[in-house]
Amino acid sequence: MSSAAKQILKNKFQALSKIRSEIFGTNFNPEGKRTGAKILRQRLVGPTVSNYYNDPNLIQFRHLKAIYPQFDFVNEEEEYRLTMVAARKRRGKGAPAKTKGGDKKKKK
Amino acid sequence: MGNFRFPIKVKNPVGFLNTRIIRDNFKRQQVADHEVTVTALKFISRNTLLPARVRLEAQLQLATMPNYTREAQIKNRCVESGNSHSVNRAFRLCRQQFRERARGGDLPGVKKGVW
Repeated sequence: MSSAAKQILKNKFQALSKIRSEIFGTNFNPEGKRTGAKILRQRLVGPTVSNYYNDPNLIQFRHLKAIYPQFDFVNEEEEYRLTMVAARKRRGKGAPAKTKGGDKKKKK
Repeated sequence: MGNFRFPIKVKNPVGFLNTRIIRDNFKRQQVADHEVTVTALKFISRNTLLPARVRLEAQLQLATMPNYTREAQIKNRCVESGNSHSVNRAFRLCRQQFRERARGGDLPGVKKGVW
């Protein structure tokens, strides 16, 4: 096929695709110019990105206690910690007693 | 003093917290807030059909936006330990926390492979 014939064929194809894009409402960009449509096509990641960590409004133990003061909730983790502290104290491994007179400096 | 790093107040997530998680969370909230602006500016600056002056202005505006509005600044961290290495995206846990939790039966459907 000669180059002139190729050109004619190309023009025909282009005319066809132009008509097609007009009918179906699609983009017609025969030169392949950069229109930035790529940026607009991408999905917004905001919600996924901002909800990665836990919800800041999640109800915590202390909120539960504040909402229902009449109930006696037990925080198992805290109870366990307190029993461990008591056990350590019994073995003489507790925190040292505070020194009297707060402005005393530590010895080197 | 503390005003420089976090110019906008953001609620902290519930659960394990350390400085790096707080920092990352701040950036995440800011990126989400500025996403539409950034996308619009990017579109203007990449669109070759628009006048060069408009595009340049958009590029300059993008360049002057603070770093915490950029998505590339975000790093997935382990939600239980704050570790940034070897974080499983589906569970949001690092490999150590994932192993401990899986062994403790805290991750439904996760079983140790035996064959």
